[in-house]
Amino acid sequence: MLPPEVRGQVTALGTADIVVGLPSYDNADTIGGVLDAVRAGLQKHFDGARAVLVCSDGGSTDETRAQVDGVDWDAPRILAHHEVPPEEQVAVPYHGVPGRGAAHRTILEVAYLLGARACVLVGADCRSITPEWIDRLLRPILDDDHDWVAPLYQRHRYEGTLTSGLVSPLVGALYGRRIRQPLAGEAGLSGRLVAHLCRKEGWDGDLVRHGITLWGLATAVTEQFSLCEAWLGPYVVDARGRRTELGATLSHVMDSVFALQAQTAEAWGEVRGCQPVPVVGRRLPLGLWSVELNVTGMIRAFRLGLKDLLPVWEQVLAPDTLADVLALGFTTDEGHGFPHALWARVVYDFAVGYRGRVLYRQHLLRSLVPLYLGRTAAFIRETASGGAREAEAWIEAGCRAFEREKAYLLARWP
Amino acid sequence: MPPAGSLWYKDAVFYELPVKAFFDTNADGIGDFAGLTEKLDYLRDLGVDCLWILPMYPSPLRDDGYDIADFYGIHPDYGSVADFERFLDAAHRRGFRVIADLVVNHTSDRHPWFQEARSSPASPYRGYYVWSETDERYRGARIIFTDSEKSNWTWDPVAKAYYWHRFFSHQPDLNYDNPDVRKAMLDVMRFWLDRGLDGFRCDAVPYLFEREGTSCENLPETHAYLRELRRTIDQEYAGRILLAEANQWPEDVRHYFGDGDEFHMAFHFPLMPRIYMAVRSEDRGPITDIFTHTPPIPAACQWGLFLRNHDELTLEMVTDEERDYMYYAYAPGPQTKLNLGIRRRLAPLMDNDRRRIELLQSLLFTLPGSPIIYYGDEIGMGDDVRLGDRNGVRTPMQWSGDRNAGFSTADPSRLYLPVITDPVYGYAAVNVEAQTRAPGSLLGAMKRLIAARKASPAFGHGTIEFLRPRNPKVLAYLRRYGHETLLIVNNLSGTPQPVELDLAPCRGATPIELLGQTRFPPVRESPYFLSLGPYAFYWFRLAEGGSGEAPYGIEGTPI
Repeated sequence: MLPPEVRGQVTALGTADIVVGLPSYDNADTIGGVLDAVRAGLQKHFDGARAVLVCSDGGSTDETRAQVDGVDWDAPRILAHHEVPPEEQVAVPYHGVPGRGAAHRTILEVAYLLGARACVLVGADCRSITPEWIDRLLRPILDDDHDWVAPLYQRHRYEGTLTSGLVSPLVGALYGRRIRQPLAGEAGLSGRLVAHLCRKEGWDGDLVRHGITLWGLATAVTEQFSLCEAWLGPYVVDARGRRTELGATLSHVMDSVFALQAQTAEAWGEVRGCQPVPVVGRRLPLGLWSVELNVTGMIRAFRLGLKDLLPVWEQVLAPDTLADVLALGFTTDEGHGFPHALWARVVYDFAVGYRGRVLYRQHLLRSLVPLYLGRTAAFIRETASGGAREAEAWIEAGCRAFEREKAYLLARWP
Repeated sequence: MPPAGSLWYKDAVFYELPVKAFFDTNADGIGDFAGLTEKLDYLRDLGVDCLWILPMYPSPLRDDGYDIADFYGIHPDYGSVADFERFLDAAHRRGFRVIADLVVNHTSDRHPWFQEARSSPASPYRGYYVWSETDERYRGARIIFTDSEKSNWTWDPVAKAYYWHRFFSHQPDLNYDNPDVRKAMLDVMRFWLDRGLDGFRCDAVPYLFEREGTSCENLPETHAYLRELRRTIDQEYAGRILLAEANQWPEDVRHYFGDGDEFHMAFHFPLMPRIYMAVRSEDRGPITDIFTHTPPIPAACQWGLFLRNHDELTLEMVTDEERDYMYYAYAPGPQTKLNLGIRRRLAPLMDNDRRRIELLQSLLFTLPGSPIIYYGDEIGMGDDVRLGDRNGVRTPMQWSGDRNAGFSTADPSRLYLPVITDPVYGYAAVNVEAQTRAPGSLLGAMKRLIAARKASPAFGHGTIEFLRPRNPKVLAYLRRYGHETLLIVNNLSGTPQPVELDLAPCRGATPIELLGQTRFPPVRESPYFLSLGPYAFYWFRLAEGGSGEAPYGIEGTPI
């Protein structure tokens, strides 16, 4: 599947120990810093290893490609161009790289053909990357035989709530491994897993549209590859290039998650419980710095959903679950809550509705937004007066609820 | 009860239905309030907000209930006042509002008031009606039902006098110069509002008073009385509404809004035929022209927009030339014409072309006003022009492919009207059950349009600014309200069309298509290019700075 010019470069290079992949799109402001960190990390921690840099670009209109070309680095580099789906040509996806799935495929195929022992993926828009990230994403593979290294970031307690409150608990309950950043742009993969993924069918489907991470991770878990997580540090990206419309973001993310869930039911149907994976690096607490949050607006959006989306939710939610959701609207803003178990059942009902196509899927996914906002508002309201420990306990309780309620999902799954 | 938002009618989607046609629970072949109550969940799923009930009162039914014989009762075919109250409670529990027709201009000649009045000149009810020894008075008043009436006066052999009627001769006009009549009508309104009704669609309001030397329409005395009605509603029943039926030109209807102190809503009659003309002629001119003749209305008032209703597609508010064109285009046989109109439903008028039906619904939902859906049009029901008067568009609702279209278990011969059975529009082909199971059906499309409309207050409250692209087959306009701007683009033709829109004042905004939430390329200084398929339409929200949602503080960071 590699373009001839890329394949030619790969053939000329022959082999590599490490492949570093950067999907990019209009990242001229940040990619220089990322390349510096990568170079320094490789020189410091893997001096002597044969490393190849692969940058797959989605059609940048700024100086991104020129920066990769001109980087002061003697390591071989491959500058590829990946195809971008039409819908991502007009609207950049939430992660900022149109066609990121195609970019990942190019990078992994290069790594596979070069016979690399490990491949590391990093985001070209990351502002907080340090040389240590390269070590932490590669070391568990090269020294400890892990196959997938997922990142752990130090983030504010209310950042990334879509992941901490929805994607991570759901993925954990489904596949039985507690991965806190299953959609991250950074990852380390063993050569063995890269080869397995390259030979695997499914690259042409929707599952990989937004990147390999979720699909690859699920594959790694269900097919008994070894996983771990690595603490990297603070996570700051160049937000200008990323899509920030909540409805579209949630819709895109959950489209991928629910699609994966629907296609791998055989694999997760037998899984019970959820085990943590080994963690490397020093644990970093959730951040507590001040951020401006519109909790009132979230609750208002939730109540508007109760008013306007009832005909939609009636088709998605089980009657008892719907009744419990409706009851949430009877409280004052100060008393607003959203119980963990109810949230898990809501998400499971949406997964079932997605699987059964009870509505147009985009409409179904969009109708989850007010519920997500209601749940997030409850999280913030109930933990605002506490510290990092309270927020972590709340997130953990949410994860456990998804695991406990999995029987509910199994009972309803068509 | 639904929440008491004072301007609720500006956001609402209305649904007009005759009780007799909706659902029959007692197998007598006639729909009833118990049946309507059973079907409320269907209407909730459709997404409509306010139900407009056609006349429900005791009546000899010589004009489909617009000939009321008792203002305080429910027609026994439909149930009882208690049944109505149960229906109203059930509707309110589901968040609906309910308004009902009230004929204020006249009664049935069977009404006890008229029977008393004709019996003796000394009767206290004699003055409730307009009598004359001659049929020469008020000759300036036109005859409305030209097909059936030759004069606005009819001789009553019992009273030995002529009585005045603007409609059928069995519908004598009430005499609003009589204070007892004015008070009596207020009492009627109070009776139903006390039971929880959310308002009235007031029938034939321009004709309440008569004055020599005038057209007897839109007189100052009429407006004075209507303001009195409104004061009573506002003082005693806040949140209830009055909707005017005044089949007049917009500048005349404008007076029925007063200074926001007469009707809350009024139908925009001239718009409706021009929508049909625009689509048939593939030219936006008829629609943009009528809006240049539509005056601004008070902020708290609203136009009622409709494509079809229980009457003929009235062509009173068009020129003779336009009427000839409409007959040529939409009334292929003499059976389809009635009075100055066309007695057909929406789907047959559009030759059952889904694309054109949806385009018309797009116009209905996006032009300034509150849309009113006529029952059955959401599934594309047909008509039966062989039935007399306007009955061809009043046939039973088609719920399923079962006997009598699932409307009634009565013997088919007992139905108030036969169900539609032809191969294209018959209930075997067009019914709610089948369309509910097919998300791509017209019913499914209607649900999505309604849901999209309800998501943006600019549809109900916003201003309109027509764009003037060079391609006349494309009708495009901006709707603005608060910080929200919507861009609506409609291709009125049956072939693909390109269009370049001057959106420079909106440069930097990102159009987000409302039905699919797809983001289009941002607007720049240069003309914005779009191509539209046959009869296609786009509803866009123009999101400033790339986002149209209020910030919650959690969107700006990576997931």
